[in-house]
Amino acid sequence: MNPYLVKMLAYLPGRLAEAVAAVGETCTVNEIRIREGSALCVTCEGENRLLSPVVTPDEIAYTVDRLCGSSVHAHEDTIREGYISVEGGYRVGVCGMAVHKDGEVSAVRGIKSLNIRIPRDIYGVGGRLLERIRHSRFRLSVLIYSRPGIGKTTLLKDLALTLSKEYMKRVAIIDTRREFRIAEDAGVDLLVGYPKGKGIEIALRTMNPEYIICDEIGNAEEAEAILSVQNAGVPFIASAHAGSAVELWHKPNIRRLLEAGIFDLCVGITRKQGASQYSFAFTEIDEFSRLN
Amino acid sequence: MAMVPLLVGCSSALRYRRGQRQVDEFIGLIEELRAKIRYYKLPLGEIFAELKLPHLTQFSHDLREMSFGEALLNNRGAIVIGDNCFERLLAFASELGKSGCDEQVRNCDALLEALIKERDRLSTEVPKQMKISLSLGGMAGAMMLLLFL
Repeated sequence: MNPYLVKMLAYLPGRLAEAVAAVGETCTVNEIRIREGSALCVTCEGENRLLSPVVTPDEIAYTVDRLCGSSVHAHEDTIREGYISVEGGYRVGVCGMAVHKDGEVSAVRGIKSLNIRIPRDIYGVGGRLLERIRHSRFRLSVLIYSRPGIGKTTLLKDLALTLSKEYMKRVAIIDTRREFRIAEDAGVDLLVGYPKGKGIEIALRTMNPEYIICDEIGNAEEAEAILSVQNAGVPFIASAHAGSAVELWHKPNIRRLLEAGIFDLCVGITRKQGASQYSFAFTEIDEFSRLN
Repeated sequence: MAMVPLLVGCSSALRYRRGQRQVDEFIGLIEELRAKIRYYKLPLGEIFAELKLPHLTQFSHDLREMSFGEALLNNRGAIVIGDNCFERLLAFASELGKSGCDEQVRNCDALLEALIKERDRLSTEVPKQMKISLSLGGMAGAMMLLLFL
């Protein structure tokens, strides 16, 4: 069983943990969904399976308490953003009722759904993409895109470690959601929990990076932050959600970045269920102009 | 045997004094908890990891291994504060870490108010009780001595 799954089972109430463990013996569990009043659900290699336990309110409360280390206050900022970060690189999606103050979500109460993503480590998967980066003499800015769950973060992590350890590049990672799970001896500069704009600003100002890596860019604030530093001369490797180059092009904030020439190359990634190797689809920036 | 009542009186007086010191330590603990939650949003585990309470040694040790409520119940015998005060602490413990910062800080404020009232009450009560305990113990000891003589 995936050791990350084993570790996560310790956060679950007994009977839910047992049900997931039984499935985990025979297939790779990617996600665990816990919804109050509904059957426990796991996603195994892309397939959703309902398990017999029906989740009770006490089990949701227990799980939230355990995930937060009995310190919900320490996680309220991320809970407002819809997730809990658990040590070890786990991201747990949280659904509840938003409490508004001054037009913004100030708190979440009545949490009724949790989605636990089980990470896994895959290394040496940079393949042709790494070759392109190397041929550019490490000047290539790349935007990686795919649907959710394919492994963008895993690929970014692998690229970061390879650039740092094999090619001795100074790599700064803006790890807003604490998902990268980088070991201390990795030799990268990890800015954990920073909003992307602030993280990029600090990385440029203080860490003199040769590459900046960040995950899941897409909103206006993040686009603005990246645009504001485009003249700093530091290449980016970033990721975004999109199922195709066309879909990527039609995301307004991403399009701004593409039109501004922030990225030299867009790379769509796919991966067969259960496989560790990625397939890459390269789209040069000038090809996007044909999409207009 | 004449010394026994005196020793009992002394023990009772010291118990009152220990209770007073424990209330002081709980006040300090809750103030620290409040500050670390409010300004740093630290998890409870980190807050309790470095805790040192000279008059609640086992309790502060237990906080590293169990919840606040469990640690209180585990040390009920050694915590000599009044029952009302202890119940307030248990009620606080049941909500500790279960909500956002604002509510946690409000809970700390409410408990601090109760503990400070208790401290103020003890500051007048404890000297009286100590005097009474020592006096009664001394008198009983003297009477026993006279009886034997």
